[in-house]
Amino acid sequence: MSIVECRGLSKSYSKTPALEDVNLKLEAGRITGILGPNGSGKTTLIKLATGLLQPTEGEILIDGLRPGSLTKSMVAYLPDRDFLPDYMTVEQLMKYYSDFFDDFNEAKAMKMLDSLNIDCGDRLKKLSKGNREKVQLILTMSRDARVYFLDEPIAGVDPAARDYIIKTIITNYNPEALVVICTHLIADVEAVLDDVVFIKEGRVVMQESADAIRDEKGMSIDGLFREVFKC
Amino acid sequence: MLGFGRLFRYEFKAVGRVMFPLYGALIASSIIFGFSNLVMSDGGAGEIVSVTSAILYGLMVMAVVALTAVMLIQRFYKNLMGNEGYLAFTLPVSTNAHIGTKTLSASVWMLLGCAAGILSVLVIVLFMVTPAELVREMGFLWDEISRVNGVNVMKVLVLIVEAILIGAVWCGEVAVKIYAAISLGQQWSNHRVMGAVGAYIGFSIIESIVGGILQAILPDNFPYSICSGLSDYAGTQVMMLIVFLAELVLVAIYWFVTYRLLDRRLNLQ
Repeated sequence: MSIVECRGLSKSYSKTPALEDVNLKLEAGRITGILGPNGSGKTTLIKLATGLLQPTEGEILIDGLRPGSLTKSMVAYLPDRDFLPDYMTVEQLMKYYSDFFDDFNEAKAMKMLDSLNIDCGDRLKKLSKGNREKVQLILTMSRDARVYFLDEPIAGVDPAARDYIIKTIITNYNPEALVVICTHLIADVEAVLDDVVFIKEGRVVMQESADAIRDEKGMSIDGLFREVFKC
Repeated sequence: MLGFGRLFRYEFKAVGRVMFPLYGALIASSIIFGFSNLVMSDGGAGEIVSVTSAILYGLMVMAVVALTAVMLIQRFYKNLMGNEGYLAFTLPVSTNAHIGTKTLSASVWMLLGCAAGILSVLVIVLFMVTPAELVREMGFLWDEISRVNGVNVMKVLVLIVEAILIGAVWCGEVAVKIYAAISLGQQWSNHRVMGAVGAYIGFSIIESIVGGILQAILPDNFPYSICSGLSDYAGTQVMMLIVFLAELVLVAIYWFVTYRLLDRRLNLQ
């Protein structure tokens, strides 16, 4: 059984379709990129998987279960925004994660924070934007989850921070887990991807392994993306 | 249950970091007011100080009331409907736990606000009378109450506890009605705040209409009619029970509306 499975999944906001008839199977132990331009439906797909949205039609299953309290305990989600209470200190946030997520590894989080010289006594609002994003990433990746959904983890940060974020992702995730990275910044992440899903105007247009794209098509994923999503 | 307890603990602390210092300021202003009354001399600077401290105390009372309301609305709006909702709704807790936490928190903080207010009044009174005089005056008051037929200490205590319970459920109802309105307002992409205000007004209108229909259907003089033949105390108990049950029904209705909207129709921006 695939760890994430979409069956005829559709989502419309009022009459506007955001996702149409998505059929997808994502396997554990892989880093999968869900790639598409802005507005293609990537975030909608993640929100359906994390239980933040309900499907209009079809279903999405996480380890055979509909999104709910049980799946939330095994899914780690990093949204594309500041989502943590900014009045809390980094230490308080770690305690918060420990309290709610049994799979949170506090020692791992501490080690990563120390390496960045982030003071755990600082309130989140006092940190720079870059450090705030790193704290959010560290808390997410310090969970020993079955599935990680990372929505635009490298957008809006400088190139050095992007390298740090990608390195953190690949050195800290549970290797038996599925990592899903949604982004439109292909060139920076393609080296770490095992599988690629292209999503265009709410529909899955391609699902391939990254190696197959490079070997059979003789293109980088970035190059193929530019071809598929040419304006 | 474990998730609910943890959620409530964080919710309580989040509101407490604002409200506890404010309660401290309220008590401080009541001490200042009480003290200024004590040393006030007729006319001149003493009276100015006393009036100023009275105004300050009044402002602190209004601040506690206003900030309690603002905090409770803002906690639901910011923590569940704003960016923090991306964390809240991905925690492994049920939607009911979120609603329950916020509703219970609202009740608790409204009651704590009343307690802080009563304490501040007591502080002012203790500057004006000695504790012995206060106890004597309370004794006179108790004598008056005891003259009412059939009253004793136990019955008065029971009435006080029941009044607090009704107060708590009423606070919960006010809160969960606001939460239902906010949740309904979220269904629109734009003008969500206007939508919430409109929904709240809509709920109040529906309550009035249903109340009018019930008044037409039920026998004249209800609920007083079912208390005829009962003693004053028993009659009061029946009335309180009816109010308590009516409030519980409203809590259940607004909770259900909030639950359906958050569980099935959540759409964070």
